[in-house]
Amino acid sequence: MTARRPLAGLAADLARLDAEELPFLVQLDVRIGTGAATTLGFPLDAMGFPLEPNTTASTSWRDTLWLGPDEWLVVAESDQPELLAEQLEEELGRALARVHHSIVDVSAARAILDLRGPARLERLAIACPLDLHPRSWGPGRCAQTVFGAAPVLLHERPDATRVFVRPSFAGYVIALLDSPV
Amino acid sequence: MTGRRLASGGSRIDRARPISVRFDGRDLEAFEGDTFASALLANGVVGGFRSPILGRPRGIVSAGAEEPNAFVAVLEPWTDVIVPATLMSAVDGLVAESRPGVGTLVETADRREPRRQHRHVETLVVGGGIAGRAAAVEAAARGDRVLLVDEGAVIDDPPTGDDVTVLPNATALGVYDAGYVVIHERTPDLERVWHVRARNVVLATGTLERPIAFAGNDVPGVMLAGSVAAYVERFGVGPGERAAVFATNDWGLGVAEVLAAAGVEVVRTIDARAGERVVAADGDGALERIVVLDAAGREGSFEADLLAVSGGWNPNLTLWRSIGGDLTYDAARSCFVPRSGPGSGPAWLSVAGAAAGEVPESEPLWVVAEGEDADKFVDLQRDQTVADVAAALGRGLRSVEHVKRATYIGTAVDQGRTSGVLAAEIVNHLLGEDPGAQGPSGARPPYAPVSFAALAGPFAGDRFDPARTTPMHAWHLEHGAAFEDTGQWKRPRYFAPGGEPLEEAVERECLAVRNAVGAMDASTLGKIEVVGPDAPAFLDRMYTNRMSNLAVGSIRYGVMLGLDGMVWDDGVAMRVAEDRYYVTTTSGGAANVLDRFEEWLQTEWPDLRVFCTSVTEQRAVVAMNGPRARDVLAAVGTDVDLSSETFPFMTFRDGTLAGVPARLARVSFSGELAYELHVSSWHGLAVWEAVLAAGEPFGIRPYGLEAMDVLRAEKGFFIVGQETDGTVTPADLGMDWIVNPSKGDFLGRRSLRRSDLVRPDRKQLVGLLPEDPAALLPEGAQLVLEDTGRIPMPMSGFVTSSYRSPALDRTFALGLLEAGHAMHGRTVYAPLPEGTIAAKVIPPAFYDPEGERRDG
Amino acid sequence: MLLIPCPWCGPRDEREFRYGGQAGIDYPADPDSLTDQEWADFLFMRENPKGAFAERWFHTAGCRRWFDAVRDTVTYAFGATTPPPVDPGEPDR
Repeated sequence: MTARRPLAGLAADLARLDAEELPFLVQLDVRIGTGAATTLGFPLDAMGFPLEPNTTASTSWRDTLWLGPDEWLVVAESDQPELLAEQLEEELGRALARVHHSIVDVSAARAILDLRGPARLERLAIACPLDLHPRSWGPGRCAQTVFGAAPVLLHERPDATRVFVRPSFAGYVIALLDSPV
Repeated sequence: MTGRRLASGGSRIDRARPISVRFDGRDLEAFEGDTFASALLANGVVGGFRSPILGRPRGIVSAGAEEPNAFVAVLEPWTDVIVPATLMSAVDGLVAESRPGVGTLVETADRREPRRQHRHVETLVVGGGIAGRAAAVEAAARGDRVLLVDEGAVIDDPPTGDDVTVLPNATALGVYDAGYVVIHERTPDLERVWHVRARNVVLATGTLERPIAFAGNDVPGVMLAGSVAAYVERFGVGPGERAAVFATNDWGLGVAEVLAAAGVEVVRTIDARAGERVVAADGDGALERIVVLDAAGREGSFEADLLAVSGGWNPNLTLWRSIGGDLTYDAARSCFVPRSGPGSGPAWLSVAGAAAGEVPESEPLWVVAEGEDADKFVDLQRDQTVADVAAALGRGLRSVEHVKRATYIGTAVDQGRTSGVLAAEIVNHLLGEDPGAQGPSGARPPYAPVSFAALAGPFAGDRFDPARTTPMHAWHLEHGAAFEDTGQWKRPRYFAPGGEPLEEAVERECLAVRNAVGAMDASTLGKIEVVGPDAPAFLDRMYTNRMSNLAVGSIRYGVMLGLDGMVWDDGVAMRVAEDRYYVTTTSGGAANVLDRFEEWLQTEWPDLRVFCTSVTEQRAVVAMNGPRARDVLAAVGTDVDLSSETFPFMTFRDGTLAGVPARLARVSFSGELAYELHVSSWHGLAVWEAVLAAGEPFGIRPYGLEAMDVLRAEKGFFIVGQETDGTVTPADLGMDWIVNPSKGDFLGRRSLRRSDLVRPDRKQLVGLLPEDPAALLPEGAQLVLEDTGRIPMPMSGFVTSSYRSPALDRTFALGLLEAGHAMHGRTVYAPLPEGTIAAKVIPPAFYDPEGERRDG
Repeated sequence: MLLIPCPWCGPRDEREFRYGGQAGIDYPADPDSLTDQEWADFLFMRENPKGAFAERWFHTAGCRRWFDAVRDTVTYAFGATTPPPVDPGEPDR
């Protein structure tokens, strides 16, 4: 039984955009309740959860993206994603056991496009109303926003923009990215 | 009556690069840098156009956006439905045709694929003249990102800088809230609409020269003086050979010198300040003669083929006004200028330069008294004259806004640029008011004509709306699925690999489910993880029934109401742990349910410890329905004990299926033995294929929405949005049992007590059996109680779902009927154009009403 | 196209938001005690002022937080937004 890359049919379109799919990454949606830091005795960013809105914290093997004041997306790579997802869920669950929290595996709920190349932000500006100029956007930033009619999550890394999009919207997003700039 | 190319001069044209264009079938020579209008004038095309309503001969009046006459459609090398010739660059091979102010849509798509770009700047400057350029330079100096746009093809001496962008050929179509400006950029090769968000917007939109109304002022050859000078200076074109100049100001009269210097004979200047005026302009299709009165009233007549008119200037404030900027009248300049001060226009918007009122002073002369008012044109696009304005006032209208609506002055393609102020001042004058008493009526975006295709940009065709698909979509395509839209989702409606008609395919699918087994892709179901110690209490408040006492491992169907008591969404909740539920919703309602959960948790009950997370696309779902479902699952391979005793109806088990983690849920929308298989979307396609492969020996068929609809309707199960429309309560559906009277408050509970919601004659869900078992009631058909044919007849209800049932071998329907619960046994009638269908009212249950088939 | 000042994300296009109507209308503590008329008032009756209006917004395509904002219904200009509640990230002061 082999898992199927969510964007399996779109590889050629992606290549034309200087982009590729990052399949099978682990994604966990973590929510932590009010007062957790007080209960735990330390601020949550000490655990790797960035507190500044729309920023990310990265270690060598995982990124944590701020989605809301009580919500983060933990993203990690592994050649055994389902196993790592389980392990991470368990580990985080233990660390947060004393506080109100929820950890939900959403690894398959978003496809991830890695957009590269100097024109990538211009392509995003086709349908994204965010200010993506270096004055207000750069590596380490993330944002939930819209790309046309599709909700997306953007994560800016050095030399690449990761676009997290629900698989059902991916075809539409790619078709729009592919329209003339 | 000829225009001509002057021997020298023309700052915009390149005489070393000749080009060829075609107008209404005539080939014309021009130069790179010409506008289409200057090319026409250079070739002696002084008329060439017709007014839209009266069909009068018309010619080019201006050199810019205020042009009221010279509209063309471009046929090659790009297509454009209606463009002012004065703003259009002439390019080699251009083919255009005159249009009388009304375009004709074309069939072929423009070769320029329209684009869209978002842009953020600190300062946007509209208008690339002196004031606009100065504003851009100043903004750039303080470090702003600057965008400077101008509708013309050339911006002289443009500002430069790393964060400075200069866009010629770009028209600001509209200014919206908080500095949002839509800009239309178009060149022969490119069409792009910019959506700009600017912290500051500077309107340096200049002025529009004002005409004067006198008899015959619409004849070709009567032009605005400043525009005449522009044709001479920019394009080396003299729009006539014998010219006269009629002006209320020095600058306008100065055009006479410009013409003379270019070698055009100036036969007369007419200075309105000295009491002189043109009382008539005559000619057969083009200007031939003007009649002038001097201050003493002596009449003179002159041959002329060009009359340059300057009645002053109106600051171009369309964009200012469209976002709430006010005007005030400047008497010395006899024009309307932006009113400054609080409440006039938003704080982020400013007006600079001539548009702010920095114009030469001018004596007002709106209308020459002599001559027939019916010959004095006010709005050339609408063919409206001074007499038409007077007639509107004569009918009792007083407001400029009402005169606008009565005459349509200012509503045409040119949006009143030469007619708006003129009309307002004529109204003031005729009403005996001072100039400026009423101002021109407002104008709305778009500032200039723009095609829907340009506004849509890439959001057209396949990219207009997302076509959302499931992980199994490729399989459906390969196996002959016909699709149906459920919101944005594309879902198989039925499978017809051999091209079978719908009826045949649906019958086959329904019989497979009833007699063997079917598989449906239910991945679009909304799915939400509800986690936290207060999850049980929270769900009790969301649903009409109790969820807090649901056993771990069990499933319960639930209904959610609007606060008004009406059925809003439904689905099942599965209790995964003490503090964890897995909730499903309708496919179309998933986002709304999640949003509602967040709303109540954040705004009303922040003390509840519950978190909700969408997992709609985390899981793919295969719904297996049919008496052989258990056998197929066993054949696929699972570690879950499938016996009915250990795995009863409305429970679920987490285990492995075909080697991957899966949640098997015994939920049935068909009434047959059924399992919903919830797996990671990564495995959705593989599990779907495994189920269909393992099911082959058992006669499995894939089935779509149509069959699903028939099967559930046979059991009397309602569908949100089909049997409900926001006005239907659980009691109306015969589902009092779903409302728990003894638990605490839940959303909608109070409304169920409202007197209107307990009326016995409310529309209630019924089953309908047509007397003719082959007659199919149309969905939406109205139901009446008597077959008299008398009109009008009271409507007692309507058909909500209607199908042919293969299992019952007859047609049947569901409907909402007044006092339906008490109407069983009665006959009702659906009057239709092709004849009335009679049907018997029965309880909404047609097949296996006792539910005996549920365990297989 | 409004620019809406989300207290967390900063100013964002109105496309990212859902409107929530008038602010400050609490769900009644005891709905059962209300008459049909009082209940209908709660359900359906809202103020419609010309000028400053306190209203609710949901940043549905962004951080998915609800907040209150004052907006002028004539000029559409936004005023104050309510500060976000204490979040879990920092220890309480």
